[in-house]
Amino acid sequence: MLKTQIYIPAGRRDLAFAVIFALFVTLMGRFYYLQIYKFEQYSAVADANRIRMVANPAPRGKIVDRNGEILAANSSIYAISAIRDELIDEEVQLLMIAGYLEREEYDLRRNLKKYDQGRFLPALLARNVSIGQLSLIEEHKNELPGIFSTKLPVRFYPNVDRVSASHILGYLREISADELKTLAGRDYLPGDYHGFQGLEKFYESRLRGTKGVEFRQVDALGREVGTLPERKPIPVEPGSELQLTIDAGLQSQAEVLLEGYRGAAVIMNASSGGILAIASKPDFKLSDFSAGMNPEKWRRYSSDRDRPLLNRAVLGLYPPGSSMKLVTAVAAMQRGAVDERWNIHCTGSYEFGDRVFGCWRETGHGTVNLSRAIVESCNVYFYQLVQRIDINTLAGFAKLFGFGLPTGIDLPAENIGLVPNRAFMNEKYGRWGWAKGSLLHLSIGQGDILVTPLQMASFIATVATKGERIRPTLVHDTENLETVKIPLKATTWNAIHRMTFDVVNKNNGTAFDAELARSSVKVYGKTGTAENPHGEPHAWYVGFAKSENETIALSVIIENGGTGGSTAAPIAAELTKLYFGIGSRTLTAYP
Amino acid sequence: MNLFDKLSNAPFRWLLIVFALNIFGMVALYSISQGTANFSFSSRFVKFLLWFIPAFGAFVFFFVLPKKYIHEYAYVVAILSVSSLFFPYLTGPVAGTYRWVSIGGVSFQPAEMLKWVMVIALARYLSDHRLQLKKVQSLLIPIIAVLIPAFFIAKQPDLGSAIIVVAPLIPLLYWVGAQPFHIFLLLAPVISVVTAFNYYSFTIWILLVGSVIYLSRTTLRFMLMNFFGNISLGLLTPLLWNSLTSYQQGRILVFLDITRDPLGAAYQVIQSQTAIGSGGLWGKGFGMGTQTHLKFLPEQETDFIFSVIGEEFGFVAVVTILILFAILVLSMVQRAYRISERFPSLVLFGIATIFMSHIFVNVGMTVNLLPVKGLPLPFLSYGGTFLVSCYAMLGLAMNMSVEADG
Repeated sequence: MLKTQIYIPAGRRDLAFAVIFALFVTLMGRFYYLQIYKFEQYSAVADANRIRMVANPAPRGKIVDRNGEILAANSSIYAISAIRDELIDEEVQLLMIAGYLEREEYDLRRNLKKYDQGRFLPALLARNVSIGQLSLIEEHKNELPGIFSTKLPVRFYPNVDRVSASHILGYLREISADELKTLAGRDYLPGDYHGFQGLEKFYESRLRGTKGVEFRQVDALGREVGTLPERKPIPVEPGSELQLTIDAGLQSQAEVLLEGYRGAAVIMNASSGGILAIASKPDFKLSDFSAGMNPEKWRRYSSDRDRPLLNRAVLGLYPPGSSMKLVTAVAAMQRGAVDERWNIHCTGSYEFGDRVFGCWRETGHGTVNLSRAIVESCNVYFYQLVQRIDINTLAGFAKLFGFGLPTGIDLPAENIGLVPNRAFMNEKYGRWGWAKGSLLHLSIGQGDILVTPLQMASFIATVATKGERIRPTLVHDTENLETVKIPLKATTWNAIHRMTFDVVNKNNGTAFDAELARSSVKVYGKTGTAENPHGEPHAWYVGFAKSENETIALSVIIENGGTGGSTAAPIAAELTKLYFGIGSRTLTAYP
Repeated sequence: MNLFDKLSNAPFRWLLIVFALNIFGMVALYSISQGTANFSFSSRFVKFLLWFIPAFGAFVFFFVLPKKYIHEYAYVVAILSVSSLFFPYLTGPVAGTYRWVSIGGVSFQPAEMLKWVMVIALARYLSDHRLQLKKVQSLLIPIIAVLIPAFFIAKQPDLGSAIIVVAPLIPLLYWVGAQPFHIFLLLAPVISVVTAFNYYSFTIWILLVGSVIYLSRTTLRFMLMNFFGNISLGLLTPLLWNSLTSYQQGRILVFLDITRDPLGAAYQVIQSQTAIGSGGLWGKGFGMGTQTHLKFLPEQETDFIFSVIGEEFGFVAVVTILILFAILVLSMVQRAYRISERFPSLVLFGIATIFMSHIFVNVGMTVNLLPVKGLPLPFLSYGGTFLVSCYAMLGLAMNMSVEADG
């Protein structure tokens, strides 16, 4: 087999050689014919073939409020681009343009390199060119082959002076080299802007649209000689409009009421999850970000100690304070640890072990049952109540209401906060490092527990609907209404509703408001005063308001605002009155 | 024979030629990917570089593998490889075709390795059996053996690879000693059918058939049977064709990959010729090819990579590459001639045929000598499976070219 010999006559090999040789000579002959003999002709064809591919950016989808009022639209700026292959003298031309645009030649050179897509495609030289500068360039067009102007869309905020909504709208930023790599294959080019924060980022793919491409035939000097019928232009597909659940009028009022404070307010429809207003102060001006950030302004924003760039409503973490008593009360009622007859005597302080825990009213509340403990926010009552349940029970109910979990809002980032349970405490302080005293702190929303204002709004909306925990959204999406049902006893829900109603409607309530008590809208709430190491306590209010056909849930926090009843509750009351038109108030038609 | 003998006698200059070709391919690929803003690990240039690792692995494996194993397992491997053609029908189509098999995230085309697996199987058949090569009948088994896989590859559809699977058959028969006249008789009916659609081509062909048969001086009965057999086949073909419904005709045309819309293919060839022609003697320079970078040229990384080289580096580079290819193929044939064992000689000659067909079909296509068939250019075109396959063939060829002493 393997040893089988073969004898091949030299003639047979020579014929094979001849065939191979002939095939290669045929190929070389053909190349000689095309590349040497017909060179002039094909050179001319190739020159005539030169096309300029011009990408037309797609206008970004508008962002409008629930009534169709515009929050973010587009306008355009002029830009100057260059095609390297068509430049006659790069040095001289860049110097000329630098002169006309009153910019540094160095910057133009850097842009030419930065936005290079190959020598036959346009690279952006300068953005934000004024009409005057543009006409100078156009006048000298003949001396500037390979240079042309384009229009770039930029964000435009027609009502920025009345309603800011800067944190949730978010802003666009020029795509970075790293992002280009991670977004490869999604048709981004250097110099493109993309959503970097907020809704602009979350709904980037919906807002962005599809770039168009136009093919323009140019001669060897780069002058346009027409379009190419055989290369169909790719049409621009504008981005889709984004309609928010936000009510611009209410948003504007929320921002006005928070002005001068560090704080946040969230108002949502309790049954649909749609957010009506979500404000965080201090904030920033989106128009400062629209056509490239000025470095001086950027430094001012990012070094401000009040942190205007932080969206406090979804990223701010605070102890919930007395509002947490509602959760403690629910946990105790569900476990049968308390009923209306069980009461304690509050002397203004409570001794536990070797420590003294105070009540906010130093003179004491006297004899207190559950209702009074909620309505007047008695701490001592809860110090004693919480000893009838354990830390994991309390943590379990807090999680049931969504604390320590993402709310699922349609924003790129949110904080989930922290709900300490036994495992967490053992991990943090060691098995014996924490005493039951920590549980006493937790019962009134102090200690390690941290929540966001959005979680608080979501929590109180769940209370309002008696257990329908819905995902809060900024863009109404009927297909993804996610609800988690929280099964509590009907008596528990009724008790919580009765008590929170009294907080606002009884004149011993911490958030009593005579005007609201008189109105046909039924208002429920709970104040909170969260002690913190940074000075004055944070002022909290959470609550909900029911009209005949609508239920809204609110949460308001004012950092270092003192007591919830004195700072946060009045803002929430005013927003409720504005929304339902109580006392001849109206949300003036917007804008 | 030990590895040392193999190493000292193997024609390592083939490897140098292949490296030189690879460099041309990488330079062209780099030129194409240049300027595309996202130059990263996902770019084709880097991906292709990574494919060299398995390619060298395949080269070393097939170079070191003892010849007797290659001979012994030739049929088993061939049957397994043909069966692997059916894998894609189990996993579903990729991009509308059944060419790809995916195993653990790596996809490859079974048709690619079937090309040389079939050559090895044919070589074993032709070296194990003392064929009565003067008899046309004894050629039937090898013909059927290549036509079966070729049919299924054409159905994938990948007519280019199907042609390459069939291509070594006639050269191998020639190499093992078949009479040129018998090979002519074998090919004659196919040519009769093809030429039958044109009055002039058919007349010229029949005159040629007549004279060859007359000059062969076999028996009168045999000569008449063959002559009139071909004539009637040619005359019947148009009649048969016209009796088919247009739907049936369409199915056949699709199977043969003759598109009814020749404009698409014509556009590609015109742009390729323009690219090559405008390159001139020295080319336009690296990264300066307008046809390439303005995307007039289709399939730049794969089927038309040679047009990129023609445009950017000109006639000088074209001739250099063609000479490198010619040296590679010619010296393989020379080694096949020098070696005294039958099996290695046939494998070598078969691999030379595969390389030659790829080169001629691909390069011929870029300059409009042959119709457009999607066949890549060895060692230059982008494509992972194909690169591995080419290095496997090179390893095999170098392995076969070393004489086993005693």
